[in-house]
Amino acid sequence: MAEANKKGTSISYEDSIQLMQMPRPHLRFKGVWDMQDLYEFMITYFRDRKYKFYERQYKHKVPHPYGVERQHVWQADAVFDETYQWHINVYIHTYDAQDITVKMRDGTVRTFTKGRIWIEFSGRVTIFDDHRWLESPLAAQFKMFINRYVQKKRHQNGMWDVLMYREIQKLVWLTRRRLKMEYDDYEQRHWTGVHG
Amino acid sequence: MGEVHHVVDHLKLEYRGVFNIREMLSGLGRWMKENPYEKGGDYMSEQHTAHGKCIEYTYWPWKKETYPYVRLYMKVRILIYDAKKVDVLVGKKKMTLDHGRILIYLDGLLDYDHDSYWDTTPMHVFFRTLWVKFVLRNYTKMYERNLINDVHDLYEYFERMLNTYRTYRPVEKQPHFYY
Repeated sequence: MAEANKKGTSISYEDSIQLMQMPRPHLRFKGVWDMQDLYEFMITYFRDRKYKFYERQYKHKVPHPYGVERQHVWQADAVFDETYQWHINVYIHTYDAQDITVKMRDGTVRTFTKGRIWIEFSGRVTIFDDHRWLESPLAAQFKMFINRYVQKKRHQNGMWDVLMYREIQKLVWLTRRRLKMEYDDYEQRHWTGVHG
Repeated sequence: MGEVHHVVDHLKLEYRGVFNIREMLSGLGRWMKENPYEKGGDYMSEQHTAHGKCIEYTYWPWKKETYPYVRLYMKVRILIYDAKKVDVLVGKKKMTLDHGRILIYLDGLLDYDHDSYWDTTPMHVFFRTLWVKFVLRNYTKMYERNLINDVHDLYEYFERMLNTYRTYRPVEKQPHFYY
């Protein structure tokens, strides 16, 4: 913003789309979990909800005696309507991960992962995420005016909280269940209405 | 970033015994919805060890009192050590509950001018300070009292859930314009 004002031309693109940042739920877990199942489940969650899913990074770091360290950076985008777009980012980092073979009670043998995992969820809503409002400084300022004063209530109510409580927190809840964590309730189930 | 006042500093509750993690935390979610606080960010950590589960939950519930001016928020930190499942007879019914040590820390914070409208120049900050401390002094006190009441209400909720002896914390007198 400041840079654009110095130039005296227009506001920058990143400033003009007016992001609404979200709180970031974190999960940290040390124990045994099924990484393959977790991986498939989280991606299926996004695809079932019509998100476009991108696996931005997959880093397999040099293994050391304690185990393997991997990083995953994911992004999922969805177009809510012509005004709003939803973006969810997931960052997964596993430390000291070792594959272990477990014999189940029914006699089948399954492979689990033992180690530590860190998952960070974040999301944002972009408003008018296109370039048609940036053709002139007047159009960009007009868009800022609409966002700040005309559509302010609409932006505040029923948009970021829906993304937070209905999309992200639901994913957090389901991830907790996959990891078999102690507390796996979804307390925000009806926070955005009972028909969601 | 506006001006943050740390109003309630580390209200602490320590407990060792039988409890129900699931019931306590789902009740905390209900408390936030009823009061009403937005959930904010949360942080959950769980470690499975040989001596039980070590769990940490951190929440930052918040709410806005008057839209552009002030935001109330808390930091709720729940630490659970050596949690193990135990079978307990309640009446004639057998229930599976948790046993371990709990530490709960509650912090209450007031965030003035969280949209940073008055952050740009020293003169803006000066006027904001005047506004908060002198012009709207009674409102500032009212927000502080509301926050203190909320934090103590949450503290009492945890005491009730853990079935400990409780101390009654009277609500301080509200200013005349509050009614």
